[in-house]
Amino acid sequence: MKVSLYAAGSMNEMCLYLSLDQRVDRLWWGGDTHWEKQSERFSGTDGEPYRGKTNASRYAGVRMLPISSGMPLQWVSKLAGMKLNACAAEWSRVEWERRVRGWLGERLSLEHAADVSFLLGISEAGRGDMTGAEGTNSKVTDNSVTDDKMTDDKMTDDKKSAAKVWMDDVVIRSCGISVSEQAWMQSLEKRAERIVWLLKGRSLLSGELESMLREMAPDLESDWRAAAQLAYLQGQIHLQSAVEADENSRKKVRQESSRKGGNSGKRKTHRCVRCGSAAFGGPCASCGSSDCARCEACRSLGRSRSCELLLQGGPRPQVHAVGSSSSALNLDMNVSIDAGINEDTSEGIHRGLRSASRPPDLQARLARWKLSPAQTAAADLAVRFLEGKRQTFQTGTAIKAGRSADASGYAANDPSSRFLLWAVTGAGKTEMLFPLIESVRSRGGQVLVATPRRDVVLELAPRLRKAFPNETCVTLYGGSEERWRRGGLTLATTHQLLRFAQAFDLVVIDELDAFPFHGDPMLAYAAEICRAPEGKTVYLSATPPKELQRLVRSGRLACAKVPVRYHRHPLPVPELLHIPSLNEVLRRKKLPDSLLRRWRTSLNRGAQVFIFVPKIAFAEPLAALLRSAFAGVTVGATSSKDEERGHKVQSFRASDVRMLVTTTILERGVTVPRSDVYILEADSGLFDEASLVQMAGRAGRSADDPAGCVVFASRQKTRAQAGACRQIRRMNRLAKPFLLPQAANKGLGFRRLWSRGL
Amino acid sequence: MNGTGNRHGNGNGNGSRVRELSVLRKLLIPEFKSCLVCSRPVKSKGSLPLLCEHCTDNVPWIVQPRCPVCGRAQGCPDCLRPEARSRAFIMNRSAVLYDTTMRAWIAEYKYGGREQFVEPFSMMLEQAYRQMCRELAGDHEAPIRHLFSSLTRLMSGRPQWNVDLITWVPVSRERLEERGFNQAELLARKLAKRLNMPACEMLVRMTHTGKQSFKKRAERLHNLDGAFGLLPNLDPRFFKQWDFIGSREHSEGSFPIKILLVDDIYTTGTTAAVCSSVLKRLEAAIGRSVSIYSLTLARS
Repeated sequence: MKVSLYAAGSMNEMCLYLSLDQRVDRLWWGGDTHWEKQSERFSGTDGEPYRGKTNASRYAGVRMLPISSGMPLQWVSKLAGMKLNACAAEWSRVEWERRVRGWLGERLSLEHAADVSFLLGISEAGRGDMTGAEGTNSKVTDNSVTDDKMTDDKMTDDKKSAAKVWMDDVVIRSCGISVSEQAWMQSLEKRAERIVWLLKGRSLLSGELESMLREMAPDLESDWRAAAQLAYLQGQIHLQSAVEADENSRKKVRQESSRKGGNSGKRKTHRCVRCGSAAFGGPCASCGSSDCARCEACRSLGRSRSCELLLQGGPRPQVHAVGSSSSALNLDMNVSIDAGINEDTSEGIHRGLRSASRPPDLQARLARWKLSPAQTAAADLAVRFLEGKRQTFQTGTAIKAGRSADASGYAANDPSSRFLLWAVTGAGKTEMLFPLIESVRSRGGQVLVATPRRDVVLELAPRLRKAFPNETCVTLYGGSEERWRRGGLTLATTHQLLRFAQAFDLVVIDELDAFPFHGDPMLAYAAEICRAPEGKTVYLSATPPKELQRLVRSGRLACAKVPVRYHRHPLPVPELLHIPSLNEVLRRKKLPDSLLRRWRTSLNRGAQVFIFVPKIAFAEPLAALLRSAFAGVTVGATSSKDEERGHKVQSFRASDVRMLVTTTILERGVTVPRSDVYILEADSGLFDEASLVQMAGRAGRSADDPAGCVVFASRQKTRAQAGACRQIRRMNRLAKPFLLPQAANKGLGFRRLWSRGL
Repeated sequence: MNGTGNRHGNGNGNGSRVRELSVLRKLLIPEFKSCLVCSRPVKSKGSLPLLCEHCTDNVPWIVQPRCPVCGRAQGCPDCLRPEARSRAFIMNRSAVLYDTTMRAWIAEYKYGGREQFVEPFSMMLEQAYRQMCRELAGDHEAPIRHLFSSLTRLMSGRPQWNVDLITWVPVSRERLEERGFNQAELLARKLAKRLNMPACEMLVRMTHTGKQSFKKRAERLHNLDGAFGLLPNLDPRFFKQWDFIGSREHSEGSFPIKILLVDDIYTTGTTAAVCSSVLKRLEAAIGRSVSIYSLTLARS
């Protein structure tokens, strides 16, 4: 889209502004006693250049100078906010055009030379349009696409007097303002207030805003531009283009092209402000520029373009650390965090458990949730972390060179605001969140729980609603009904975070290492941006990425480990089994005896058999082979391509299907009571340590069958398998003090490491 | 180390080495493109650019048009209606059927703003166009002759039947601003580039009539009356060039200017008919008969 650009200011200084609706700007700068009061009210916050000054000086010779009636938004967005000398008011149109060309510099070099003048719209913003009384207003209504007919009619009385002033292109604050205009302004002010409120903590494209208004405030939808413009002038919201030119990559392209001498090919020289991804520029009919970029990465949430308007509201009200006892707490916290970091000793958790230093109210608060001792200890650490003070820092700190652009990278940049809750599979992570949520909510903060997958959101929502019956809990996912609602407690898929900016005081990222959050820089960026400036992030994972583990080891990232499951039995330690490759097994159509024996034992003891294979192509053939080997036993196979996946998992859970062959798609989030896990071709490169641990975590999850068996069957032992076994054993060692007395001796010893089954 | 480089002086040597390296790099690290639909890697030798094999297999090609007028693959009651006879275009050909797959892809392209779809789509259009050319050149002969004729065509560089000019169905200004591009224009321009033919803007949409896809048949038919017009500053001299080309090819003198009208979807043919009748007005302006052929991506 195109928007207009103008300069306004006092005798001493002028500043460039973006305008969605010039009627508003004219009134704002044209002066009105009512709005002076308004600006007084907001004079505390910064951001708007004229706010700090007293009214007298602000309006001493204030002038507004329209520069362009329509220029591609991305250019205006770059220019807006630029400070100029007061002598700018004397510049002629030619001079303005020359200056603007200079400021935009490089960007214009990509346009067709013949079009530039038309695109800038400076020459025609001037004389021709402005001379007649009719011209003035028609021009303005042209700009505002949703023109408010009513207001326009009201304003006709005053057209003549306003136009006289506009003839000189300079509006000096002297013209009187009619009664009808005042009424319009008052209503506009109320609307602006509501828009500001609706935009708090949001980062929305104009299209998204429209659909939000349609749902939340239908009366605002028709003329939101005017209201948004007023909010912008008040400094309450931020208007900018959704995709910005990335100067760094431009420089690179320039260097390359100078070295190669000419065409350096297509390069991503833009960056999406909403999602942080790089984007290509291309011609666009909407703004007319030939270098208007569209972001491909966040396309699923509305089209982000260079000439698309991105509206960002101010941060939501902030929550501060618990005031009075903060210093004592802080000291205490350092101790426990240090201890918690101390890897294999688990002493920190012990200390927490002994609760010598735990403040009594925290103890009482934790007791409410009826957590197991290990959960309590970890939740205790986490709550103290949340309530402790910390130094301020910038949100969304840019990734330093050499650091990966994912959650670990951000964590390395700013570890002090983050906490890792490292809980083994089946530890009861959700329950541990409750005290954290309560802690932040009781201080009035906003809480976000983000998980990578939609089904987890749907599963978690009723549990959270039950735990916090008095909270408004909003669930956000693709196609969610509550898309624009807001509540104290937000439960969302990670993609939905793109619609927020500086909104949450506590951001919980569940399953940090799961697809698609892991390895997607866009989602990591979104998780950073949506956090309030003073907010904190809690990562939840059973298998945190290596870089985070390293940060924890080096003592920079606070962490609490929950090494034991809620039923206080140790994790089943995997058994390594030697079998030929799956290809060969399927070719010969003969299953190895060692596996058959074990499967028979599993079935006899009434367990459900989970069989993981690395590729979708193996699933069905293996299931067919199993069906012939175990007559009378129902065998299912499923994969990401299976439409009836949910149905099959249901029947597996209900023991209608006894054996289920599947891929990594079911490695997380599936709880099947009384199950044994077999991972075939465990040496496949597709199974890394984390996914092996996750799959092993499917066994022995229920209290009545805590000792399920886990088998890694492969041709060779790999580092991933060894690592997974080591990780599980280490957690079991840490878990010792928490285990039930009768279970304490299991799960530590080395089972047969390498039993040759052939 | 590098003898040649040193001999030629430092800067020069560096430059050539960089160039060599970039060639080497291209060989060693080929550019991987992922499929627009399923984001699987795309083989470079696929029949449609930016689509993987699996998705290419889903394309519902119209291999043999049954209706000679509108190019529908099934029998077509619409073209038997009396009012259909008076349509201003000669024929329509479509590349594919408008099935659920194409519906999804075209929606991605138009509303989702994935302009890269223009690559495979224009390739589909090109195939449909070539088929249309073959049909109009009267290529229904024996395969040997067919081979022969295609050989001669290859030698002469162009098929015997050809349109002179490609244009497209315009969209209104509001829609253009909302979408950022005209889907038919992109297709037409890309197609023209592939065929090495001139493409130019000739029509303009006068009124904003709302989406045809939201309307019933009866509404569609009259909704577009007066919706299109000729581009106001169309220069008749522009068409003079065909006089030269034309008189070279048609020594007997009189010949029509053949215009190909490109659009994305053909449903009732109303859009194509209205646009064609507007284009027919050119006849008066340039004093030459104009025949219009419609080419659309999908036929519903």
